[in-house]
This record gives sequence, C-alpha cells and structure tokens, in this order.
Amino acid sequence: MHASDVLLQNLKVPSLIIEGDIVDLTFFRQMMSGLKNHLEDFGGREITHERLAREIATHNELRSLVREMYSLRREDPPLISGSEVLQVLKALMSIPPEEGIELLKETIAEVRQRKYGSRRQAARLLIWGSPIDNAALIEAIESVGASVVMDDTCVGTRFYWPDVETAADPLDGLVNRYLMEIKCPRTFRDAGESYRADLENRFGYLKQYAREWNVDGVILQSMKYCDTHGYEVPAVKDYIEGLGLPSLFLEHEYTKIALAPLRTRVQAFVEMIGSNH
Amino acid sequence: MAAEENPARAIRRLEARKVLRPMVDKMYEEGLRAAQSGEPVAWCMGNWLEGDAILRAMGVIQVFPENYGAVCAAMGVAPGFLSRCEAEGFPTHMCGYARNCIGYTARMVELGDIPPEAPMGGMPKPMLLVGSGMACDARYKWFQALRRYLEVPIWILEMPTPGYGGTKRERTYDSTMRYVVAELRDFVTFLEGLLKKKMDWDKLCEMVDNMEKVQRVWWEALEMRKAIPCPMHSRDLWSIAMALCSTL
Repeated sequence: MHASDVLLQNLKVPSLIIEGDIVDLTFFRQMMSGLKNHLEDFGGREITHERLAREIATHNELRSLVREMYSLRREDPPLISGSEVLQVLKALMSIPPEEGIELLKETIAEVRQRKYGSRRQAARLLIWGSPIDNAALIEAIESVGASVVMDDTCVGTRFYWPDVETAADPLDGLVNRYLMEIKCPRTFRDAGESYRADLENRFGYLKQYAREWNVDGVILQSMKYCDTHGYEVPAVKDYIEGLGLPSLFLEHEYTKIALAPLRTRVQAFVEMIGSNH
Repeated sequence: MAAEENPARAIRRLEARKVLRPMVDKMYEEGLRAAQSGEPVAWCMGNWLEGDAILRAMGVIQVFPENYGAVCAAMGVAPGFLSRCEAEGFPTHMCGYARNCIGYTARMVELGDIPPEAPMGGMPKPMLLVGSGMACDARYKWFQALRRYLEVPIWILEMPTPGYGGTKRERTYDSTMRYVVAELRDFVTFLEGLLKKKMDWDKLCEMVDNMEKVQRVWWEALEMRKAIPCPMHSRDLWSIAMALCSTL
C-alpha cells in the first residue's frame, strides 16, 4: 500500500466559540465542505444531500435509542448498570448504525423485562470526564456499593445527547451540532461577565442531569496526561459543589492494574455519601 | 577531548545579547510601570506576533506568563508556585508554564498583591487575558482556568496551520487565511469595545512593517546557524528570542 492510497485531510476544528459569532461556524463549514469534496474525489462517488440526510436521520434514530436506554437508569435501583451501558456504547462505536439500532432495541426490550431484583445502592453517581471505553473502571466503582446512573463523557452523553437538526443543507446541521451543541471541554465557550456566569455557561447542563437522574455525587475522572480535562477539574468541581453535591477526582492511567487504589478511594466516597443519607 | 584542545567546538557568546537580553527584563519593568499608572496590561501567550501588533497598536502593554515560567524556574522560585497549583486541584502532569502561572495567580489573589518572592518584580494583575492556540492544543484551557482567580475579559486567538512551502495545505489554505483575517478583525472590534478607543490603522501598519523586518533579521540569523561550527549558542537563542516580542 502506498501513502497515496490513504486519504489524508487535516480538519481544523475551531476551538473558540462565541454565541452569535458566525466566523467560526463559517470556517468550519468550509472545512467540512472541503472534507466532503476530498472524500468524493477519493471514493469516486458523489455525496448527495439526500444520501447525507438519510445517514443523519439514521444516526439521529440511534442517538434517540441511546437516550431511551439512559432513561432506564432513572429508576431506583436502575434497571441497567453503568458498566452494561458502557459495554453497549463500546459496541455501538464498532458496528454500522443500522446494526446499532437493532442492538439497542433488543437491549432496551430485554432490560424493560427486568424486575427490581437488586437492592438499592448507597450512592447514585454521575461520572464526568475524559473518554472511557474501559468498563473495568465503571465495574470497580459499582463494586463498592454505587450505581453509575449518568455520565458526562465523550463516549456517552456528549456524543449521544444532541441530534443533528434538520437543515436545508445537511452540512450546516452537522457543523452546528459539532460546534454549538456538543458540550465538550475541548471547546472554549464565551467566558461571560463573572466566574460563576462562566461556570453556568460551561456546565449548566449538569444541573439537569443531576436532577433527573437523582444523583447523589459526582466522580470526576481524567486519564493522566489529558490536559483538556485536567485544566477543567477545579472549575467543574466548583460547579458541582455549588449544586450541593459531593465530588471525587480520580486521575487514572487507563490500565486495570491501577484500579485497586482508586476503588478504595471510591469506597470511602460512597460510604461518606451513604452516611449523609 | 578537552574543549581547549578542540577550539572549533566552543561557541562564543553573542555581543548582541548584551543589547537584546535587557529588553526582555525591560518588558517586565514596563508591565509593572503601566499597571501602576493605570494603563492597560494584558497577560499574553506567544501568538506568532499576530496578536502582539494589534495589542501594541491599541496601547496595551504585554506581559508573557510563559516566559515568566522560565524566569521563575531559573530563579529557583517555581516550586512554590507549582505546589500552590497542585493544592488548587490541578493535576501535576500539565504544562509547567501553566502550573507556575496558575500557582502565581492564586497566590497573588490571596495576597491582594504581587507575591514578595516573585522575581523581576513579578507580573502585575492584568486587565485582559489573551491566549492563543499556537504550538500546543490545550494551552487556551490554561487561561480559561485563570478565570477562577481573575474575573477579567479573555480572548483566544485561533492559530490554524495552513502550512508553508512544501507543507502547504492547498485545499484549505485560502479559507484558512480568510478565517484568520476575519478573526483578527473581530479581535480589533473586541479591543475597541473594551478600551473605548478606535484602532489607529496607520500605527498598526507601522507595527506590522517593523514586525516583518524583525522576523526577516531573525530568520537570517537562524539560517546562519546551519554553519558548522554553529555561530550562535542555543543559550543565546532562547535568551534573546523573547526580545522579538518587544521590538515591534
């Protein structure tokens, strides 16, 4: 295989988004249009508006089903565990969306048949931070008397919560979702007049998650050397504590070996939450 | 083989550094003077001189926390600021420049004044933060984190890399150029609103002309470093590189 056989495109995604400013949206729209043209040249076929709109609709259906799966964790105890949800999300990353839709329908139907067999856990937790595709971390957390009922991570709600809005040009919908709707720390959002206004602008959606999933505490987790999330930790901690919720920061090395000490810290955190109930 | 037996291996220090190096020190003095007299002072990241010319044309005095991190390290006071940053909850694997600055800022806010241990008189409290995406991806998160301690306006300059010469990205070059121009115009509008004064475009043109002349001279000096033996010690290069920003 030659290097010329491989498509190479540098896609500059604006880092700074200011509400009402279209400069970044316009630029990213041009980047995406360039990518589309490059893919068409490389693949030898046109990407029509109709085809793109169909694929967007398929992915929106997938996202809707993921959100339905998440709703099964509003129950107390949740009908599906955090580690099970992550296993499904991992599978969705590897299979075509049509197969993902079938998988989700089967999973949701099966979970809805479950009775309340397990007992209520001491703590309902939201997990925030860098991408997790390692179910072992969630299993470790859930092994010490906690249920991971919600998340704010890149493999979870950040990806599946916002849909692509229908637009005359599907590329506009994709651009708007990616830059404006996905709440990820990699995007610098307009700071606002004060620190508190800044926190609300950046993390305000967590309030709804915490309320609707009846969260008792938040685990802030970050892979070591992930600067994007590392810089974010004190600010998101301030916001969470402003909501009256306790939080615990875990920095991990993305290996199973390092989980034991983290498990101990989570256990202490869960016991603290349990004693406050 | 001892150095004195092979004189070709020794590189003489530049006389020019005796002129240029003090300009870096003067930058910090100028920042402190400006803050005391009520002139606008901005903490800035390196931004390939794009934002520098605009700021200076608007009369904003710049202080560079990245360079200050190196100053604190050289003077042996960085560990205190780094420890303070860690105590504030920031992971220890992150950029040392950022951690030094965050620790310094937390201490400055706590004291209500420049920390007494700060070398070269310290960095005054800014009225503006100007970050950039130059050189590394997460750097703008650093200045965003500073908002925890400094409730001042912040602007981030995007620094896309369209390439140059053999690395030029033909497909995206023109749109990237248009984007940066539009962004810099937005930056001017932002500063005009903040400082309540209009941009002096003639002054900006003069600044940009100076900037290009300085960069041309610097490029020629760096090209000369291809010679063997190298005529310019790396220690001189890094000592005087910051002077580029103060010679506009």
